[in-house]
Amino acid sequence: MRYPYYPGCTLYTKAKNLDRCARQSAQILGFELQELETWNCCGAIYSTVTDDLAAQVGPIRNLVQARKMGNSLVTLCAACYNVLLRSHNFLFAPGNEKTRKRLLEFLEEPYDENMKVLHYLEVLKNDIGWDKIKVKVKKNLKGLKVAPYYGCLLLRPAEELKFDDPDNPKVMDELMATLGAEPIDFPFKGECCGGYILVNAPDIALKCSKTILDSIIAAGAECVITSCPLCQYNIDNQQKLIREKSPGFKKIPVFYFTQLLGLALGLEGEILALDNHYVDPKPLLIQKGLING
Amino acid sequence: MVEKKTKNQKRIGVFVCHCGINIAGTVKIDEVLRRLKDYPSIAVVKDHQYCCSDPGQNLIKETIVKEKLDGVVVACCSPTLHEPTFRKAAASTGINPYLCEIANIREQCSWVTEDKDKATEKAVKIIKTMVKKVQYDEPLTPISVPITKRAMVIGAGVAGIQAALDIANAGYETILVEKNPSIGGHMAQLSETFPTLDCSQCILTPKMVEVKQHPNIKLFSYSEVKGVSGYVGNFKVKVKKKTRYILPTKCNGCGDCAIACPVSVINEFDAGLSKRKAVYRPFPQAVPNIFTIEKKGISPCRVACPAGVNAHGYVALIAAGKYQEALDLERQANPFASVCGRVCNHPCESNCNRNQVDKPIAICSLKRFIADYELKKGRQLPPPVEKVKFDKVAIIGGGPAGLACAYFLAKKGYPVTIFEALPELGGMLITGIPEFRLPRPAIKADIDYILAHGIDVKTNQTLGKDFTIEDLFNRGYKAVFLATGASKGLKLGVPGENLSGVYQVLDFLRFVNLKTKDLTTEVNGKRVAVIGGGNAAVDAARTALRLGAKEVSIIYRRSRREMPANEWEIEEAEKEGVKIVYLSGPTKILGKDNKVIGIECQKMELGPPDATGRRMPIPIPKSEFTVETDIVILAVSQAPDTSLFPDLEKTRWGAIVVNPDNMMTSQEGIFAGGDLVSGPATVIEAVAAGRKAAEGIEMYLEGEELKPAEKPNPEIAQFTPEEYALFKKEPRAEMPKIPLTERKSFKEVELGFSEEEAKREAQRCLNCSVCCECMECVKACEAEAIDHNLKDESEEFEIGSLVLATGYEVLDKKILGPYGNGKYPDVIDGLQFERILSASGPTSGEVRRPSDGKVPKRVVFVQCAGSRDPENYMPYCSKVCCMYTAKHALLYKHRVHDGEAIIFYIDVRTGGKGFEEFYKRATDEGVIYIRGKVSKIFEQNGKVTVWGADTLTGKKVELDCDMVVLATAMVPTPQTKTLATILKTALDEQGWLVEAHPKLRPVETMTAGFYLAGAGQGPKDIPEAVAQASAAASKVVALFSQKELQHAPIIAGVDDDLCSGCGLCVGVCPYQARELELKEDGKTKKIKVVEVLCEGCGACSAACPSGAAQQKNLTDEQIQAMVKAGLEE
Amino acid sequence: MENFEPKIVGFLCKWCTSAGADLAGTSRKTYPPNMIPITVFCSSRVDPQYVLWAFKNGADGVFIGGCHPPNDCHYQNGNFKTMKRVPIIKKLLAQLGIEPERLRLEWISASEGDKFVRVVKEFTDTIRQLGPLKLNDIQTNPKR
Repeated sequence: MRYPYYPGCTLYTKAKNLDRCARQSAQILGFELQELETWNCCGAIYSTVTDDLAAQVGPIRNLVQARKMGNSLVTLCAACYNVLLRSHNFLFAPGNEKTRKRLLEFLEEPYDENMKVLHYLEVLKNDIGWDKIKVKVKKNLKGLKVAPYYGCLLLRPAEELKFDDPDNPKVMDELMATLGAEPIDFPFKGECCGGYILVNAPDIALKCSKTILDSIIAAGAECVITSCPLCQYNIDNQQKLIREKSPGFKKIPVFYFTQLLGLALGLEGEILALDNHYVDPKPLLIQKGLING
Repeated sequence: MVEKKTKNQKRIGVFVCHCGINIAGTVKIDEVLRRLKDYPSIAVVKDHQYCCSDPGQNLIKETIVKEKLDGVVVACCSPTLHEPTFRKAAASTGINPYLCEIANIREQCSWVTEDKDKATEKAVKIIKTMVKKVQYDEPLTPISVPITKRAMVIGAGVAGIQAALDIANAGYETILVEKNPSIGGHMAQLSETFPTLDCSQCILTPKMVEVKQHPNIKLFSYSEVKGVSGYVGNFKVKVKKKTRYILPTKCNGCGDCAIACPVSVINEFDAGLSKRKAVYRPFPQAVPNIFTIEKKGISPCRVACPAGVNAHGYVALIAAGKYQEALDLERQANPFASVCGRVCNHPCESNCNRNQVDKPIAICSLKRFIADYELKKGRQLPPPVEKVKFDKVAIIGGGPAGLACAYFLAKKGYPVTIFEALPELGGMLITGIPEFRLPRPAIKADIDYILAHGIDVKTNQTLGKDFTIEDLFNRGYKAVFLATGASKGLKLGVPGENLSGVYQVLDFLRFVNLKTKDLTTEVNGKRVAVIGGGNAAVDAARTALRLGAKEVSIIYRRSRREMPANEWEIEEAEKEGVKIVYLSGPTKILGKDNKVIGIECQKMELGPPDATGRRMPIPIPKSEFTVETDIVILAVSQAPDTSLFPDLEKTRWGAIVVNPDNMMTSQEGIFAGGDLVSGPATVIEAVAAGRKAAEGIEMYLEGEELKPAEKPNPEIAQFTPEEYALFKKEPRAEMPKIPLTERKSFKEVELGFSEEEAKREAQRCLNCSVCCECMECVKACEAEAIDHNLKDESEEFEIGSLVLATGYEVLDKKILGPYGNGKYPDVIDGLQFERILSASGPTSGEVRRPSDGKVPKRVVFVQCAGSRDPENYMPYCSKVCCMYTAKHALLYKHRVHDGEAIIFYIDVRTGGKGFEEFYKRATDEGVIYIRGKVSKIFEQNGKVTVWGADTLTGKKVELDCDMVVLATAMVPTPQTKTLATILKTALDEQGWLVEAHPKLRPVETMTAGFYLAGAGQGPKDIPEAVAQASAAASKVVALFSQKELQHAPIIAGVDDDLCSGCGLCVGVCPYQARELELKEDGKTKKIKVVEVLCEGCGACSAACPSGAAQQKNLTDEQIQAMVKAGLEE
Repeated sequence: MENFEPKIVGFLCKWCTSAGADLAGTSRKTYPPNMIPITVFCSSRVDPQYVLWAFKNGADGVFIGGCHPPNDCHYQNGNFKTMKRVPIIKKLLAQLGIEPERLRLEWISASEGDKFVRVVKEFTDTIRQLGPLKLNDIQTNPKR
């Protein structure tokens, strides 16, 4: 199997580990992520301004590129996934026929409805299947207590994304169980991490991430996984500030789900990029005997 | 399509009504008269100020008589108003009322048109169409149908009860059908009712009793309606009466059965907050006051057991601490409790539904516990069974199969003798299984128990040496059971098998077990290699270790996955230090001066599956390697030694062939079972064979013709994935074992459960089938009211009318995602809180929260949980929640004085007598109301947190509390949907029953004769439900008070000459009023019309290609004539 | 085309649309008088032949009014039969050279007087736009 793949900006810089582990794991699991020949910023935030077509051009250009290569597009970053999928829906929403015509004419490229914007997790669950992944597991993550943090962009608006139950998401939990780890349930799986308000209202953003982290730690998790670079940043790096404010705070490592996937499938060393975390995850993994010190 | 002139040109009179200025104001009456005067078949045209007035009607009557009219058109208001009036008037003059028609020139002409000329034009056309209609109208007489004056009420909540009582009190027989074991519905669950705060039960139970005692009411509880046919006044209803496995006539409601019953399951009457037994009565005041046994198929563990041991039964009994009863139950199917409790391969566990949740119940070890427990506390062996039969039976072979057969025969009272070649009984149990797995006392325990039933034993008697089968028959034995087992070890067929140091596994084990040959010196400090992968191989390996072998390895051709030995035995062996060499097959046993020095092996790889379904090992060329060893134990396979039975039919591989139904061999009177028939198999399979043989022998001796073993395919109890998800994970009890350091002796490795461990483990059982059929209830019931063989029955009733009172459910909080999908124990729904408040509830009225029984100091109530939320849940208002939440808050504050009650609401709706005052009272007594919705509820660190909004202050609210009560929406019961499909009556998009007219016919359905009562039609409180019930009842009574029913004659007939019998109309008829039947010629078909069923929609007329189906007084040519008239200038 | 007055035949189901028309009357809503109402018990009573017959006899438009699907039909599912039938009639009309727009099906309940008025207005306008039906040589096959 081969999927057109849209990495998105962060996955080339801060979120290398999210990207690399995903590609390598894909190979082990028998499918390939084929990067778009050309791609541009997804737009980062889905524009809800209906008459601002310029905002739609960016994401739709990516879709159009993907359409040339196949009838699906796989992304990893929750934000990209959210924006690209909703832009696609926007194009084919009833009543938008004129707008669609205009946009596609502007892009001078053919495009049609038979295009699926998929998140990597959807590929794992629906196309590969947990059973197939289970047999490929080299390093069972037995005994590792993982809190899967989904964040908002992956789940909402639920009726549009149809990704998972926004109040009780399961897919990352299922993945972790498949890899042998113990998924930890906590009430804030889908709450906002603080997102972009980090810039203009840092205190509120901080409160958001702290609420989530507190609950995760209270629930007895040893680490967190996310699928969104922004979440990863807020939940991981914000711990620095949290500790300044409340010294008692106990640090907890935050992975991308692909890192644990890769680890379980036997990836090692550089690929896992265990170094670009604020909270160093290595001690935990060593203690669990998953990597050697 | 040419309009044909009717034979009889009617004389039609047209009467144009002014209706004051309502018509005359817009329609120019005189012009109408002028233009109609000369219209074909109009005899006379007259007008009147008010035709409906007395003078108006008289004018019509007189004109009809004077002008000898045979048709009348009154041009006036809508027929819905005065059609009956004018038809009556016409009829009084002797012409058929159906020859009088109304031309609606008011509602559909004068009132809706401004331009007078146009209005006049339209009026004329409308009148012309009706004149044409009358021209073709035929005299009709209404069809009259009889009424069966018996009513049925479906659903016995408060509404159903009220309806039934009212109808019954009016003197009509009433059948009341309720799906649950008791009547009473949800009202019986409520604590106190708003706004008067009187006790729900106290006001309901008298009515329930009245129902029971009413001479006119037939109550069918625990029953469901399965089918309905017929039409108003004459319905046929099929009712399925589910069996309670209890005879209502005998049960006196004492409850001894429930005390005896070991099975506890969720109590739905307490809304899941407590447990009840498998045999139960929903609540003490239940009507009828009898018990019910709940069964859901058969538990998988029971089905999985070859010997049909009731595993679920004894596990349940252990959970209830009834160890002796458990053991007795187990022994009904298998006398080897102690043995099987240790060495059984327990398929029951691999089939246990608990596998879907975490790990299976340790059924086998539990069996061992009850067996050991009996010995420990000192047991009394049963007295010998009196020999009531005279035909002697000989059993050859004292292994499990033979002993089991003897046991079951002895229990039947047959004189049985066992002939055993060895000095003692037990067969493979003592020779084949090492003591560290199955100590002698454990075997003896079972054998003693078996022999105690009075069985004659002759040891040291070898068939063929000391006696022959012939002798036995000569000595007066009437039947012989062969159970000599499979003890002939098979060879590998490789060079070197005769070297010294090569053992057959069974010989090796026998020498050790029976201590007939001391191998210690031979094995001690040596290297031992066992070839094979079965239990015998593993046993031999572990035995060798205990004899002091320096290293022991097992050589197996396939991989671990295919290894036939029990997984858990293999694990122990490895722990103890046995090495296993997989995918290796011996090619040669190497020797030096006639002593083994090693084995040459060949590497294997797995090919396609073979006959046994296991993957075939294929040698890899040039992969030979050598395993150095001093002793080789061949554990490849064993076969039965059948050389003694030359004239019995045998299978390809030399086992005895038997009739599977009765285990008889090819020779009459000679039966066989166990390994001799099956080849090397398990103890439990041997027991099964022995039991079946015993039954076969009995059938043979009693001369019953052999009934083939019926293959019941029982409905195996299962749960849905959702249900599995709800079970809490609980660790499986681990079998305590002696430390590895002590594994050098033959001391038993497994130590057995303690009483606590056993009990706790047994309580993990999911009780898949609810009732476990342990029959304790039967023992306990002095009234002898219990019969587990009862079956469901169904009965058909003829009734005239039917009241639907199917009630409601509360919305399942599992679908309320933001409120935790029901995963938080202290987030409960309104009905659960009712039970908590109820004096008869799980906390007997004390307010305690489910999780830890603490008294909640702060309770948050959430209104509109699932109601008034069109995006996500129910769009409607559930109506009762505002009031019952106020009641809950109030009652809570009455019970917990320092408690804090906080209510989140969107609006507070208090429409109802005394409702507003009650709400006021709640606020006065300090209940806090916050206007806003709750966005999220979650539980962490033992406290519940509620996120909401206060829309009055516009602030976010975050509250910690001890418990949350959700006023979950009222939703229709799932049964309502099924019922609606059966009754073909309409449901709205939410699934509530639809009334005929929202304002004017609120208790009727679209189907004549079906009426609505209670919350099945939409959310209601008690007084409304009761009022509607009485209304429905009065409708029924009104219907029954008629002598017979009039059925409108505007129905579709059929013209046999035109009917081609195509049957198109049969399909389109919504009322099954048209049937295809053979014509007299017996070949071609034609349509038969069941006139009383026809409602006169005319769909058939439209569908009929030949025009044979014609609706009376609305025929094709009639309508065509009308159309034409409406269009002509 | 100014002085053209469309001739329209309206088949109204007794329980919903006809009742709706009555309501329009009682609430004194006015609408063009071009439609001559013919009340049948159920819209499913309307035989395709009637439609053709109406056009043949000079109608410029034919209207059929029934009860709202799914549950309003007084005869359980008559409205569904009509729902399936009308598109087929429209096809047939097209083949005969009659604009399918000249046939209109509407669900109008007893409580929708306003809708009845609106629909009749719209439909009359539509027919006005289309102009008189020129049947010239259209053949309808007699039923018998």
